[in-house]
Amino acid sequence: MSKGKWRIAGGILFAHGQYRFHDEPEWKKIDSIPSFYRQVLEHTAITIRKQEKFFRIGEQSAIAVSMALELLAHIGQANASFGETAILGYGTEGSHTGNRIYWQDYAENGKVSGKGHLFVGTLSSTPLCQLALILGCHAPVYYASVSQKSFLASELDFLADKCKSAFLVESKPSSCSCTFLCPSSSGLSSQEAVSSLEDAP
Amino acid sequence: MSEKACIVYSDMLTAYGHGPERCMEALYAGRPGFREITRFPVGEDSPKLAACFPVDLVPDTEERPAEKAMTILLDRMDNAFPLSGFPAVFWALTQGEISLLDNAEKVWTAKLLEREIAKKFSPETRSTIFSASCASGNIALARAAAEIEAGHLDLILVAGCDLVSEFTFSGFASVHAVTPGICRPYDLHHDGLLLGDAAGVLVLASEEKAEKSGWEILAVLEGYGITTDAYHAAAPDPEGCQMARAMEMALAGCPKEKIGGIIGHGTGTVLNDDMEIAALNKVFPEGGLLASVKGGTGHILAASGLIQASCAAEVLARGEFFPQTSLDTPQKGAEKFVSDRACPLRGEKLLTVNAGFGGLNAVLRIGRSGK
Repeated sequence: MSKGKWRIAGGILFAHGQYRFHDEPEWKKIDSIPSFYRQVLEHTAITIRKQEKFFRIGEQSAIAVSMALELLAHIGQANASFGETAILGYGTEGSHTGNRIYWQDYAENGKVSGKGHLFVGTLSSTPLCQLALILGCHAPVYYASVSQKSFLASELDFLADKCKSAFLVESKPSSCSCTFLCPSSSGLSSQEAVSSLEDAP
Repeated sequence: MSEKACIVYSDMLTAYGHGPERCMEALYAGRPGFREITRFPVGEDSPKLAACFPVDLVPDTEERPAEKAMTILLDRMDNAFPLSGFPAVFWALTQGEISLLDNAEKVWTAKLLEREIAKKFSPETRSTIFSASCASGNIALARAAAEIEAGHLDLILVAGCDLVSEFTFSGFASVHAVTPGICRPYDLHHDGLLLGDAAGVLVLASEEKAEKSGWEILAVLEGYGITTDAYHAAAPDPEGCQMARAMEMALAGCPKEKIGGIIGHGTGTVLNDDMEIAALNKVFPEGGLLASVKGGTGHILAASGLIQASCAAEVLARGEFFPQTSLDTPQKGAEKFVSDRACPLRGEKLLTVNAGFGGLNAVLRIGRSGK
């Protein structure tokens, strides 16, 4: 594991029904995540590797996937190959929201039986796996909750020689930050790349 | 030249009690650790078995059972490896203290557990939770090995815990993964998993640190492979292509003949076991020795990788591979891998395999000395 160097290809932030790219100051409003997802597919030529039952994957996953696809379209990477793309989730929220949704539904229905698609949403890695599924990513995919954001640099160092590109995804209940990076010998150090990440609001 | 990532301490809590020796004794005897669930009410038509901790170790009434289990392990360890001396703790967790889901702070229950246990360590200790469904354990171990091999850290505690709860029990039932009968990994009649409690700790150190400190090297984490299926949100690729690739990555630089056995993920579900057998037949067409601990310990989720690594160290020390618990007739394709009897190891290294929801694959290669 050597020290990684990265070129940040682009980033996107989503919060409270709006999104903006890192390189554009203005926020764009969206009506709903499902309609935004359909819109992203229509206005880009993104090839979906595995078309999941998108609207059953949970809102947190849906936001992460929609934002990642919109970002790829924005930076002209929509039709790149993602087989060697890694996906690293980070933050402190983990699967708390998904856990609450699953359990509330289970309890409200008399604790007789849970709903499978809600249970799948109780894993912190689920939004990342959904993105991997749609893009066909076969490199490492995992969620890391670090006590200091700077520790994420170690994760980037780890991934640097295991992928040709990487998504960094911070997924919260109603906000998301998604950054797309590529290893580059003349790029930023992992620590510098982490410092430049924009936090999900 | 990179450092070796040496396992210098391991301990575990499973349904068999405290310590790897108890667990291995039961696995070599082919004795399952399941009993009727008493921790929460189970419906009349539901499966009733799980491999829960003995109640004298972690009582059913315990409000923070995950913290209790981890405290038992860490208090024991503190004598030989003072907790204040660890520069880093890598956690393998999915839900952590799930019984506190409705906590007032609205904090993820894995974070709650980590935060509580962090009080035992120095404030400077770097803490990271690796959460990758049932592959969390092997990913946390691979990350720890990579940090040591690169010389970034020379000592890391890898810890993990997942418990049987109404939350996970109902969830796995909801995806039709729980067997109404016996958990039979790699058996012709396998039809589902049974859950289990487990907590595990492993101390990884560089060879230099281990030698200077006079610590016995139990085993060496020599290689790893991490891949993703990108096949389905909750089911593995039945062809096992990416699992096979993870195995090949873990084998890099090591002749296959040196692999003495494979501790499989082996949950007992048709989807998992079939995928693993497909992958194994690709990588080891001549066959090999394969067994899953989960026929005895139950499916121990994020803790799987840690418990399997501890077992790997024990297996290497004994030179004998444990039998597959509850095996009657091997499933198709597994005939040249599984046995209901203990067998002499065929080589001096082991693979240990994790596969998680979302198609996450993580494989470790563990050797006696790292040579």
